[in-house]
Amino acid sequence: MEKLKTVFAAVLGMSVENIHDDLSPDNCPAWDSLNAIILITEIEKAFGVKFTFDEAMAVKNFGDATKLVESKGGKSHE
Amino acid sequence: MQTLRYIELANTLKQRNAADFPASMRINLVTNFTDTTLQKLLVGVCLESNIYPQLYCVPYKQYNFFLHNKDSQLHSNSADITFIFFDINHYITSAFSEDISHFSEIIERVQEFCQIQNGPVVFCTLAWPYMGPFGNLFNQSHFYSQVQEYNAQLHKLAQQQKNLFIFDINRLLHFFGERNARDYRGLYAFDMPFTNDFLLYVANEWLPYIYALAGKTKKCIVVDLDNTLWGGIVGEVGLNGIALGPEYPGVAFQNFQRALLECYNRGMILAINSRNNMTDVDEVFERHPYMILKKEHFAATKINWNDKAQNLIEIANELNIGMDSLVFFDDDPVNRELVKSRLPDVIVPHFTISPEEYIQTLFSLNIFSQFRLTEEDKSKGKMYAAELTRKNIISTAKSPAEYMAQLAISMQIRCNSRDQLERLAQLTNKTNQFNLTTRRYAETAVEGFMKEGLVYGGTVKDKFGDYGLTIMAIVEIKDKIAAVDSFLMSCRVMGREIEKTFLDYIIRDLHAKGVERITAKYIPTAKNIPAKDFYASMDFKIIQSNEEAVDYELTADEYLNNHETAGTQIELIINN
Repeated sequence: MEKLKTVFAAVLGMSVENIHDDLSPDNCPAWDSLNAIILITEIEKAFGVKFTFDEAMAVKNFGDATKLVESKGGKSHE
Repeated sequence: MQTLRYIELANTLKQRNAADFPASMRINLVTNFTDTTLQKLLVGVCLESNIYPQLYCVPYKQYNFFLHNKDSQLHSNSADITFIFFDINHYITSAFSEDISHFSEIIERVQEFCQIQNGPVVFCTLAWPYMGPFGNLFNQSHFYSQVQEYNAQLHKLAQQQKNLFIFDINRLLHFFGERNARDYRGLYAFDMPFTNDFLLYVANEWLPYIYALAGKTKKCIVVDLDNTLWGGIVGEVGLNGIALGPEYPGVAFQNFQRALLECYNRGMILAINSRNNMTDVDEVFERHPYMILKKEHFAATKINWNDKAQNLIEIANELNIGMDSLVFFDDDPVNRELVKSRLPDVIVPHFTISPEEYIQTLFSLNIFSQFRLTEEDKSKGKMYAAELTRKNIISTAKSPAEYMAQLAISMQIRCNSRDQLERLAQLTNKTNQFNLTTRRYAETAVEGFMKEGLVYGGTVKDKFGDYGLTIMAIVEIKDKIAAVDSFLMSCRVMGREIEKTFLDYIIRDLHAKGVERITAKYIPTAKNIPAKDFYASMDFKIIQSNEEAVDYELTADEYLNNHETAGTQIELIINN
């Protein structure tokens, strides 16, 4: 999920190598509630998908985000 | 992915250092919604333009209190510029929708705020509510009429309040489309009523205000000829073969020329940079029935087979403007790449050879913002073009003195003249090269100097025309010591010894007012090297000198003993 990592890295101001499945607001101070909103809208745009509010709020770490994007038809090899 | 790029850039702000940027800007942001994304995008677009932003944002929903409270940080951080952007949020209840009096309250607050601020305040109009329960009878919608009324009041206020500038959000929404601009989930869930893409657009449209403050205004449009001003290559197809006239595609080229002429009439300088034979080009200018632009509209022409980047350097030198004042419009991608790589400061728009898109390409560059457009600005294109005729005199005159005599320069000097305020403030904001201290002032600040000290302004003329108010100085006096706070001259009148005549007059005037010593300062910038040795050339003595500034001093008596007369050929008209 390279593209998803790129979005996370850009929004959270970190390098792509540091993005892993367990990355979450608990271990990443930049992932605050305001950046979470930017993440949602930028991921939707990048993959051309739309999340419901509940789906978006259920994302607790990067792994969850990957699964959510894939479930919406976002291509994992991108 | 555009927005992402700017957000990423904004995230690097913490690792950056203001000292590494040619300009930094203190920006206030006042909104009535969650503006985190807007903040980041604004920081991103500034950084990309090499401007270091110091952004101060009013805490969420506290705009009313902060605008009103003179002790708040919004007031006290003396921002260079303030952007105010309220969304009426007519889909849900907001302070605006709940209480009619909130509109007038806000207008009052903004007026108070503007009166205290030195810097410009850019105020967004309210977006017109698109939908409502009244359908086709939208006129009867309370919101609709309220918003119209509020926007009309803002326009009225901007006419009274010199530092208030209206930013028409509806113009932008019209372009962008409300359905692309609104984010309803964002609105309801996070109070973020706009899409990131729209906010990037807003930030980009605000940037020209910041450019204008930073003195980064574009001054000159340099155009190629073949496939730019007309279709086809004149050297190959001849005068009658080029596409220019009432039929497509000629009509599109013709209209592009009209657009350039409009730019010229609002003060843009035009220049030509083309690989061509002069005779072919002259023939088109003189004989083609559908040419809109004439040779006399161009202040510089480079029609040769030289490298176009070199030509641009020569154009900038001839016109005495910085490379970053140039926009280069050329249909050939190879030339564009060459110029972009060699001259990164020049704006080089990308476009395809579809002449119907040229005008949009030009106007979407967003290079036209200024805080004021004075009558002098509007005639700038003309004045620069007249300069070409003056240059021809230089080449025939035998000596500089003869040149000056032939030009018959005269200068009218006025002191503390309030009707010059607008232009004086503008000069401090736009002059980069011959500017000794590069201090930027708003009209209110210049007016302040007039109350406490002396503000001199010089209007220059020669036999070819009027340059307008092009030289000024701000002097503060305390205990028989006069301190020159600012001394600057527009590049239009450089090279005529006007600055010497002007300062000579000021020294004599100060002496007559009882001043004994005059202190002055040169603060070096990347651009003001032409002014570096000015005070020394006027016999000022260096008191101290370091990297940041050179301090000078002059004893008025001594100066007058050594310079019995002004000794220039400039006729002075004094008008106090």
